[in-house]
Amino acid sequence: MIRSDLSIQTIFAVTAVIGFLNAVARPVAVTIEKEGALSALLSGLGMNPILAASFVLAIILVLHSAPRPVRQHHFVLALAVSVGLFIPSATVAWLMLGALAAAILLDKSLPENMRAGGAIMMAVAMRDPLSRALLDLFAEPLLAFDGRVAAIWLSTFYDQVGHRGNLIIGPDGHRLLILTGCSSFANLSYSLLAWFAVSRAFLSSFTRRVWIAGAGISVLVPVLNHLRLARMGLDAEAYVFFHSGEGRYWFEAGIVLITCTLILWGTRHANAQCPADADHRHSGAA
Amino acid sequence: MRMRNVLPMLTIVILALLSISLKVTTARMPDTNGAFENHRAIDIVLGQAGFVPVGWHRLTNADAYIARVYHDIRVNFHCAGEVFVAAMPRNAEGVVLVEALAEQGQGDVFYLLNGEVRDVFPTLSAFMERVRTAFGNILGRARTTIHFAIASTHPCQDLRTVPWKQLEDA
Repeated sequence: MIRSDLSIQTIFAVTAVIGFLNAVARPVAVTIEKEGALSALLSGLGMNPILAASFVLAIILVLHSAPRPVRQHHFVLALAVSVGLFIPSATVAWLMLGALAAAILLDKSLPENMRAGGAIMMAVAMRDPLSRALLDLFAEPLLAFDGRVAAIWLSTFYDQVGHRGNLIIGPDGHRLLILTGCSSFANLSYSLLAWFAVSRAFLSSFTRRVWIAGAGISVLVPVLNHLRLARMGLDAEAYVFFHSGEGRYWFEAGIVLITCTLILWGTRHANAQCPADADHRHSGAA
Repeated sequence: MRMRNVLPMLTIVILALLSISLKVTTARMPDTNGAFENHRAIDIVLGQAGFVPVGWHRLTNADAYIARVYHDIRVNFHCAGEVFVAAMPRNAEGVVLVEALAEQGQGDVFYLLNGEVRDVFPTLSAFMERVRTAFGNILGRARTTIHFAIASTHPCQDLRTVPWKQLEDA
């Protein structure tokens, strides 16, 4: 029997951080190798900031819940996850983090704050394997949808615009192939992760307004991406500008603006409460 | 901090350092070059049918999809047609490119998954194959998914009858 004064929160938070670092280790290492340490660090180590921020939020929630003493099965789970992380696969690391999050989420005896952290952790962990699988299995219809909508946008301003699946044919014959990384679904998955993380962290339950904000993000983020794709389909100069030039940063800023505005709108007037306080109230801590 | 607190944490932290180090040291730069590595196997199989490689053709301005080009040069035979072989490493995103190639040249397009000829891109089979490959690699049993799109323009022989199964042995 393992006896320890450690809390479940500490053990699970440390294990989750290890799981996250394992999941992002390879892409980060590759980014550093490609760009150099300083440049990679300045560009956020090749990681989407929403992913990192959501995970940090989850950890904060876990650590800010009323501490509970660790039991043997918690330690066994943490150890099993740590051993499982030796499997040299980022997907497996995400799944291990998901398993840890599920253990938090399914244990109804744990403080609400910690379970909220578990829910966010689950969303962070499952985003990559799920979106990867969905984009692989439904690449054709998803990318063709992007191609069709972008071509419709372009055809409202220019003649002789066409599309074939995920290939947009611009007015001067310029062709743009929409690859998986440029799909609206990929951008949307990050925006919805941010929406879920913030809403779950600050609200005890999802109100109608929160759902409307989520629906708004689900519409506006793809619309913005379709406008960008349409513009890139116009000519080679526009492609470079919006794909790897200044336009790309305007597009990303637009995504952030839409997502943040709608998240704030959705959560602003809701019956916000800090679950950490609720936990402390219930447990009688100061 | 008491020993009973230190020991469990120390165990997890040591495991963490080892597992992260393992991932960092085995990290490889992704192969962004669409010019697939195992083109020699294709060269051999197509060579038996009288095709010779003549170079590479970029299907996009980036290096995402690059097809290997072959000409039919059987003895005492002239064929103006070309054969394009492109690796499909991810999913069906590049299908439209090879289909457009074949259509321009009134040719044929088909897909190869581990040497088997498919009329349409085998999305589910390819996905399952990638999952199996990933598991195989985790278990140390190196597997390679042989997954290509073949497009021909003005073909002079039926490319589907080429013994593609030999790719698995090559």
